[in-house]
Amino acid sequence: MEIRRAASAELPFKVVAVVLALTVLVPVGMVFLRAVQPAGEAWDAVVDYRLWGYVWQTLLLVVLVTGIALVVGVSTAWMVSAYDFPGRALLDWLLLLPMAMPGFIAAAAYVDLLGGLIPFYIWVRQEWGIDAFLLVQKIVPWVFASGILGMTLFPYAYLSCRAVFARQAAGAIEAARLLGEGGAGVFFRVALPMARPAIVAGGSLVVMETMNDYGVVNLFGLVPLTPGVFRAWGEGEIVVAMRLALFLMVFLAAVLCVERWQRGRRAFGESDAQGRLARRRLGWGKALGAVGLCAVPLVLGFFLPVWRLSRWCMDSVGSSELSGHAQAAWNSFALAGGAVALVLCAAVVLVAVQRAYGSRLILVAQKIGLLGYGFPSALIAVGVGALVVFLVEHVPGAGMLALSASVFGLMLAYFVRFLAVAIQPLSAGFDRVQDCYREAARTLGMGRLGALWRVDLPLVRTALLAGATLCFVDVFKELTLTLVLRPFDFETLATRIYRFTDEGRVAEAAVPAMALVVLCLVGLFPLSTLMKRLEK
Amino acid sequence: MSLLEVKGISKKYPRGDSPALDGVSFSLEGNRILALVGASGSGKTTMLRILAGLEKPDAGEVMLGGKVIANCSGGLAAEARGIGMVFQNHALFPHLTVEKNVLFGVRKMADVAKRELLSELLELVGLPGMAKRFPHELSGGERQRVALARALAPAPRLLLLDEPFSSLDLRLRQAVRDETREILRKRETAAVFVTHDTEDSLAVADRIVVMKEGRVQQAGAPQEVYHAPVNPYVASFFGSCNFLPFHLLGMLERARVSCHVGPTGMAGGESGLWIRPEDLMLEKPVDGADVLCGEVERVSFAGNCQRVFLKCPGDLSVEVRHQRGFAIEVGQVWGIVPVRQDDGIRG
Repeated sequence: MEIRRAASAELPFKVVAVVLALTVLVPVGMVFLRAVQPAGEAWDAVVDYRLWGYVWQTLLLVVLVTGIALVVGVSTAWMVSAYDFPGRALLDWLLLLPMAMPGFIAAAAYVDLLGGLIPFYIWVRQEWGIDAFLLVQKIVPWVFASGILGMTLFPYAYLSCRAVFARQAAGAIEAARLLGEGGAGVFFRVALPMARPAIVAGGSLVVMETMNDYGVVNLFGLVPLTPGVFRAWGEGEIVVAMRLALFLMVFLAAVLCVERWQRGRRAFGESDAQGRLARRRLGWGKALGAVGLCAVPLVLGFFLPVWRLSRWCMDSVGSSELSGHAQAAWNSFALAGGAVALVLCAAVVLVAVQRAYGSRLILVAQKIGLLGYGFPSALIAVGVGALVVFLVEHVPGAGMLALSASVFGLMLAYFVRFLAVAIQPLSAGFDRVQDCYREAARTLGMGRLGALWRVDLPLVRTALLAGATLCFVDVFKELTLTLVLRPFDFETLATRIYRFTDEGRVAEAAVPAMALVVLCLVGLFPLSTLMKRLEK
Repeated sequence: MSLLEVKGISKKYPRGDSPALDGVSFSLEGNRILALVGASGSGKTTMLRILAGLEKPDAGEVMLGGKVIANCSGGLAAEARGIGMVFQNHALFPHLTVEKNVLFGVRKMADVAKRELLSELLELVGLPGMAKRFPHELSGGERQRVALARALAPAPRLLLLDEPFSSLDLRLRQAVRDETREILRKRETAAVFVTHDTEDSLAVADRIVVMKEGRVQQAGAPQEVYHAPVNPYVASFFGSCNFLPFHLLGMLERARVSCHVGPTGMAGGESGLWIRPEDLMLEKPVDGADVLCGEVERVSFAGNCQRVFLKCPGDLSVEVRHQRGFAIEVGQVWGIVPVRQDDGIRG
């Protein structure tokens, strides 16, 4: 009898968990449903004239950005892990900073430099002729876009490799040194091969972020798949947008499969070495080189944009746009707050309640919830967008509530995309809490939920807080989803910064941009502590 | 009627090859302490978790105070059983003070009464004035005592202890062990505790259940399982034991003494008796007397006695605990005879 009561207490949570999992799948389902509908000539036209361009631009961008991010991330990680030089400890921490610089804000700080290149173009034309001039004009935006994305995304590779160099590979690296291998030999023959799974993991995050980027590529006039999806969407070719979004998802799925496969292999190679790598002291000349190697990406990816933006901030004191900024900031806060509340409640059901009841069904739902982070932003955006359109057209009265329908759509999109951001730290937090605390609470007369409330949740509160902060910052700076799904005439800080930049009013965007960067810096704290814990 | 009645409990884990528990039955009177002992993997912890309601048995039932609390369909939820538990690593809530830990399971009680209960319990476990400390500020022994106080606070009908002394060092362990027994006596609480340490179980328990590979080997009073083990496993589990085949025992029988001899057992296809080293003593061999003799191979000093290892005819090794004054040296030949029960009195 008692066991039946426990089962019936569990039932509502199971239902909620299943609903949450299905919610995550709604945008993809919507895209599938619409993509199979006939698209007519529009699709043929896209296939004939645009598709190849989208694909090669996507591939080229991914290769360039990932290449830059990996070279920078891996080499800086090696420097701060294997060598000791003045300022090393500071740089070790500073190298995370570019994570707090959203790509579109860095782009805003650089985009006006394009104008400064005109004398260079003229010189090229005079020296090399019209063909060279046209070629250079094509190449320059690529250099900027891939450079900016690479310099802001390299910390993903840096973080994942640093842990390997400093801990897991420490024993092997020291053995190689004792066998007489020099610095470069150790790096190429031991450290780099051992870091391969970490490089793939960090690299796949870079690939995801690059494919999801809309702001940077659009500001520099590149059209890979993501802007392609929105172009079709903007032209009203819904089915075409859906098919392109599916294309993007296949792309991303392939990358994630490679990452999975590599991670599966890592399980064998991982050593549980306790020691930390003893760092070698560098002489003055080499130390200067090491500092330079670490400082250049740091300056390009963080300090230079911050310096330019803060100068514009000074100039725009007393600007008439301030009240608009405040309104946009409030909108951002409200959206991010709402999304965090939603995501956190869902994560508690999917992770904490799952632990309390040990339910397999909820565990499956949790795994589905994690999928959302792997969906391309463009796919979530058009999937949710199509759902909102459907609601407005088919549900009586919804048309009147178009505003709330699109706010609902935004929330849904944030939920799908960022649920994993809250699930992951929470799940890691629970992994560290032993079962015996929960069991002790139960032998002391607490029910499953009582034990959860009074024992488990207080014990994972740092993880909860970390999940909430990360999620808040992510929503706050999210541009792609917000840009497509926001209600008419509704601006968040991110969309406002983007609009001003796009209109060439970069200086006026400086104040909100700096505010956003400061907020993202706050988001770095839980991230770096989480990483430290994962390293242990 | 017994307070706790365990009938034919079986349990198999999905991934285990053999059942963790296979038809385990035992019972416990009120106010008594029962020890579940066995090597690791014997199923003793699984049994304890089934009693607590943290695991569900596949078959059989558990009755507490005449009511079924666990059977194959689950039974009463852990929190509704009124059974307390002290965990192996104590499982003190790290985010709560000693006071909040101890009073965690106490509800529906006025604040004044709670405060009284707290000071009473802390007094009982010898930690007055520690109420505001956090678990990480306590020593291992103190944590064990707080865990005991916490489990006793809701006045459980039965207390379970999972390897309660295993995390303590040897000297502390003996003190805490005796204290725990005293505390359980004072609170008149029945307890079941799991241990792999035979000394713990002999010292604390009123009743011992010896388990091996999920089955009960023997259940009885400590003296019973120690001096009258039902099989070789139980005999050797509680300390070293000599196996003497019957054809040699002919000589022992002629001594016409009563001694605690174990059951007949089979070792190498031969039947014989199990006999503990302290139930044997050494005598000067007399020519012509029909006494089992052996050559001293090794002597080790154990404080209150000497452990003498002898080699007897037929490649038989015998250990004797020698407590008399005369010196034993390697290479000497001694006669081995059972200790007469009245020896101690005659001096």
